[in-house]
Amino acid sequence: MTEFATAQETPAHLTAEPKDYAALLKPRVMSLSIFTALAGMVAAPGPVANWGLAILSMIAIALGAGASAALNMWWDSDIDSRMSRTAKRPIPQGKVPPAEAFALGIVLSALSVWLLALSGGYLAALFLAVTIGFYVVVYSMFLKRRTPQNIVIGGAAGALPPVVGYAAITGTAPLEAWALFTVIFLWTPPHFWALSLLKKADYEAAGIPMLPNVAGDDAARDQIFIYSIILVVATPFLALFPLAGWPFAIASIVLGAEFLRKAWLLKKNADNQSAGKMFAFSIFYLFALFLVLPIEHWAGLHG
Amino acid sequence: MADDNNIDPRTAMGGAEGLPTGEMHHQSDEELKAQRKRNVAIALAVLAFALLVYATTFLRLAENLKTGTVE
Repeated sequence: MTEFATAQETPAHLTAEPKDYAALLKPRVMSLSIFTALAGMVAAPGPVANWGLAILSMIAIALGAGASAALNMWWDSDIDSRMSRTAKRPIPQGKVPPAEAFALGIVLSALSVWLLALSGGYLAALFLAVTIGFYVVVYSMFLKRRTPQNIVIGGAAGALPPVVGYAAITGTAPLEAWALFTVIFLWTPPHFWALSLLKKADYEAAGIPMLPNVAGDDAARDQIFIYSIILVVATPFLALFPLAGWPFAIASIVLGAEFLRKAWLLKKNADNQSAGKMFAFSIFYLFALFLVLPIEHWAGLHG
Repeated sequence: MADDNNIDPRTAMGGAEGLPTGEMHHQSDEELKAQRKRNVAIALAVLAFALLVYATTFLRLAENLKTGTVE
């Protein structure tokens, strides 16, 4: 054999560490999926009969969310390198080859759905498979680069975890489970459009038709305000279902008022600072709202 | 006659495309360390998943025994 000393720099993927592969799974998004799925589980009627299986179901849901993220990063690796927000991800950095991200995503998808079928039942597993498929195929492959309504329709994928959680506990997905879905679905546009106002140049560079890039900042701010009104008006009605009670109704009105105020200030001030505040508060809003559900259930105050 | 000194090192073994070229890559210490870490992570992940499936099976069986679905 002939040996060759190489003067070239070592390819980054040869020194990739486990944390680079873990970063493919977007741990923060995984934790949000776990949190909303837990809310769906706890909000389901009756006490959780088997917490061991519920925890295993949550792990399966988290793995499914991680799988979607890995597949999304594989598909978007070309545009991720053009955006400052995503340029440090493992694939643009050369740490993980795209094919490995794809393989990891596919394997994790299959294992997560299988594990959820065992721990939470077939309906929950079906919803998890639909969530992964919708996020990767419908959102990432078809909507994201084609229409400014990408995150409106694609938001369905992010809104499904509470339904998956509900189905894992009860084996059903009645209207009240979809009420939880509706809250996250309506929350997604103001949240992401606030971010896209801040990262407009990034999206421009990547050629992604986010609403501010296509219709202008004013139109985006108007749409944020309209969706905020719909969200804030719709959310307290969850208290009409047995899954939520008066603490949720009060929290949704108080948090909703602030959400609406932030959206109004963004519309009025038309500056990046207001967009940043809107974005940050939208995260707190969803977290706080879904935290009330388990708290009132454990306190026995739900409908 | 071909001069041996002019042989392209990439085809030293006479390798055409897709065939061995004889080229070797010696891993640096940093690469070996990273590879070892990846191997350990894969082993732990496989072990963790096996434990998850074991726990799920155990809990499902216990629940089904409790509810009388299986005897």
